Amino acid sequence: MQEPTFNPFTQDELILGIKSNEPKVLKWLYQSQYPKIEKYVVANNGDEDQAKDIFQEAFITVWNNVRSDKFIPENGTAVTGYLYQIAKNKWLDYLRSSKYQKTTNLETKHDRSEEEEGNSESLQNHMEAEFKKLGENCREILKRFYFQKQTMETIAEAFQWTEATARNNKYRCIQRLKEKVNTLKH
Amino acid sequence: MDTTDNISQQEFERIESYILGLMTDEEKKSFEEELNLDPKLRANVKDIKVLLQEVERASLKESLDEYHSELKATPVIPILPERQFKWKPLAIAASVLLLLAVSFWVFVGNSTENEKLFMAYYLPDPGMVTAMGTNTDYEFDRGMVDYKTGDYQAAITRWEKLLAQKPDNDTLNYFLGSAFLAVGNPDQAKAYLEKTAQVESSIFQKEAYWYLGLSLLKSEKTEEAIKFLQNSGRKEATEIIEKLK
Repeated sequence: MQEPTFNPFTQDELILGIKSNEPKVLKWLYQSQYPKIEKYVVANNGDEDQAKDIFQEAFITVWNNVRSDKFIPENGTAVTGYLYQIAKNKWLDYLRSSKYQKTTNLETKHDRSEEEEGNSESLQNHMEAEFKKLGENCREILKRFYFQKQTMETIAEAFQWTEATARNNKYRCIQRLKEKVNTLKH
Repeated sequence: MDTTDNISQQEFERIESYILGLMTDEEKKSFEEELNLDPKLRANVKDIKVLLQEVERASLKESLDEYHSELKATPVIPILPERQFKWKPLAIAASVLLLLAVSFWVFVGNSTENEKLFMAYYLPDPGMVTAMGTNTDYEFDRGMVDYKTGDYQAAITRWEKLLAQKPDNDTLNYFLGSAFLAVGNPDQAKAYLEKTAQVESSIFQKEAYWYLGLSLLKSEKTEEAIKFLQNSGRKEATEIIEKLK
């Protein structure tokens, strides 16, 4: 595990990369920042699996807040510092929570409402599970279109379909997910 | 989330293009009027919006897991017991060095004087700090991200598309040239760099001359190369010219 010695991206590039799900930027942000959090969690009564969960949660929070312009960088290490702070806060929250009971002297409580945004946690968990259960093709189409922002033309080409077929398949995959989520609600 | 009736593909795509902001102003306006009058449409928009957000989020989560396993798969150097004599890493190191020496000799030994000079002096332009601005800059900036991570081919693909709109832009031509030189295509590089070098007011003019010189050096066109190198005003240019004589 090595840490890059310098940040190859400017704040603007990081923000733009997060907003457009640019794989190079997301990957760099993840791989360069994770080791710090692992170190912190492991040094504070946690293990590697917990570090991974906390870091990914924090990463998604940052991703949400950058996209909704709730977070605007101010100085050189803004995005990475923000990510670190959120992950750290989340870990402290966990240590304070009922899941982890121990009376230790911890830092003051921070305002969590500043950080969170998005849909309810239970919905997110359902969706994540249902998404994983979709067939390989479905996941791939949805991921390429909604996450990687590829055009239907590109996607059709990759699967060697006509564009009409690709669009129809995308529609069906979404319908399938929608039905699953609706059933869960009733 | 409410149970909504299954909607047709056509209706889904209409709602989707509204959510993703792909409608024209006119389409958007009439859609929003409809939205005001139709509670069922409102409910559908809301449901689909949540669904699409969650699809994006689940996709991100999948990518994060990939980045994580990649990070964890980085080989860890095995720790040998303390007392054992560590001849193995030494032997490996020695053979790697030997291999490097041999391949360097083969590589350099077979190349021409010009190529040797090129290799000694060529360093790709590190790229520039991009300031996010208008919409057309967006593609350029994304290309710059590719360029800075060493994915020159991806940068070329993005920038070539932009060139159709701005064929005379000195910055674009300069970095296209730099990217082509970085992937070992000096002839293409020359075509683009020349455009920038012709722009007297360009802040990239000197740099363009420098890389033009190097491109021509690589293509074995020594005389032309010297001409361009002289125009670059670089200290290293004088060194190269000295060595070429």
